[in-house]
Amino acid sequence: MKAISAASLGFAMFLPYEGSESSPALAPRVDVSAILRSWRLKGVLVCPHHGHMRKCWWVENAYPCGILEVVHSPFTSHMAEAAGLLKSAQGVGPKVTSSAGADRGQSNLQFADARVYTFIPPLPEALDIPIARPRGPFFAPHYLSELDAWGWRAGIIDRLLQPLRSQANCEKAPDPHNCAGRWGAYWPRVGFVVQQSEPMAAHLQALRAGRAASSPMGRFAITPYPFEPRTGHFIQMMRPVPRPAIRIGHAGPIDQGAGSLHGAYLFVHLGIFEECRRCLPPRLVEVR
Amino acid sequence: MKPAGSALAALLLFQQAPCEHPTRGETRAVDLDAVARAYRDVAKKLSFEVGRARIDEALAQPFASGLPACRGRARRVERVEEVPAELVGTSLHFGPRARDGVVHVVTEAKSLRDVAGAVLASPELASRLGVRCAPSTVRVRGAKEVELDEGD
Repeated sequence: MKAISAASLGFAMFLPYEGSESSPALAPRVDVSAILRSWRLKGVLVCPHHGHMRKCWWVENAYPCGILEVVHSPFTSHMAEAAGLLKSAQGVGPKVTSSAGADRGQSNLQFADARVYTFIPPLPEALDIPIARPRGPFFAPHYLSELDAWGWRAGIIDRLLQPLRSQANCEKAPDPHNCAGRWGAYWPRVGFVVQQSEPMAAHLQALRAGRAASSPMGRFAITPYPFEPRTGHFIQMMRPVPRPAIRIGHAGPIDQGAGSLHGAYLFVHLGIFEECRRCLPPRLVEVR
Repeated sequence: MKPAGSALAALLLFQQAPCEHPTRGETRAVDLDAVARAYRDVAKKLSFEVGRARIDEALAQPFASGLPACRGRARRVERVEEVPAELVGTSLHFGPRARDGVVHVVTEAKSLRDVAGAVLASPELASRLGVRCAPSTVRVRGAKEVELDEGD
């Protein structure tokens, strides 16, 4: 009963973060220094093109490619663009059985819903160096955890398909393919995280949603998110507190002063890409 | 060999350390404030309005798993890689329509909207449970054993 009443309270009240952001407004606040900090020249490539040779700078750098959102009230979002999306989803979606708001903060078991959007802002011209930039739309929705109840809430698919990866011990041996450093395990890609700190849990939930959306394997994704969040790539908290972009799995404290009153967190995902303009198309690099 | 060796040693001694890379060519300082200003301009210049996310369009797309139709009814038991203990006893139905009491794994749908919230059949999931065709119902009988009812 408690869960149901808290959930219905969430629907009835308008939360202050709802619709308070838009993708054009986020673009200028992306931490451009992450692009420069990660930029490196990998070499010069030469490739044949219609009978002559092309030369290009083969570079690697971070670039914003997605928005990852974590909320404790189902069917709510920071993004103004997502309002219609969530209204539609509420109409067609399954009956949401676990509500994040119900027992928030009462134990170390955290749960939240998550969304994944593509977000590829244009490049500022002032950055006068060759930059690897992914191709894709400025903004597009991929994943709403409310539509993926069996995957995000019950975790049945990941436990069936990847039972061993779900047992990674990230505290002792943080394997970069299965762990976001010591933030926690990517698997199973569910909304439940055992973590005392809510902002810390939100980072992990956002990454898990991004990974579930990028490789659904039976999960309900509107379309697959093409940029898997990987260890060593970047994530930037935008809300509730704007922060510089940090490496995924970064060892330092990431949650101090970053708690949200409403349990709503918004991140920009900056994948690390490599590209050699007109020779090698942009592609996401492996873990760093 | 001795004079040549001494000459080489002297050459190595007086040449620049191999790891020092003096600045060469054109350099350009990057002003982060200018970049931030440029980014703000970009946002202002965005002449297109980001349209409302069109989930209706996205959810209108059909879904097909590619799993072939079963030719007849059959029951078989298959050995599978170990399944977590908590999933023993679970039943999954691979087919276009849901069944009561079992997890519905959708194999085809006219639109995603019709099956929102269901599990979508994937090659990984089908091969994990030994499913060859649809409709099929899988019962996880033991940690390494499933029973399949095909064409049912």
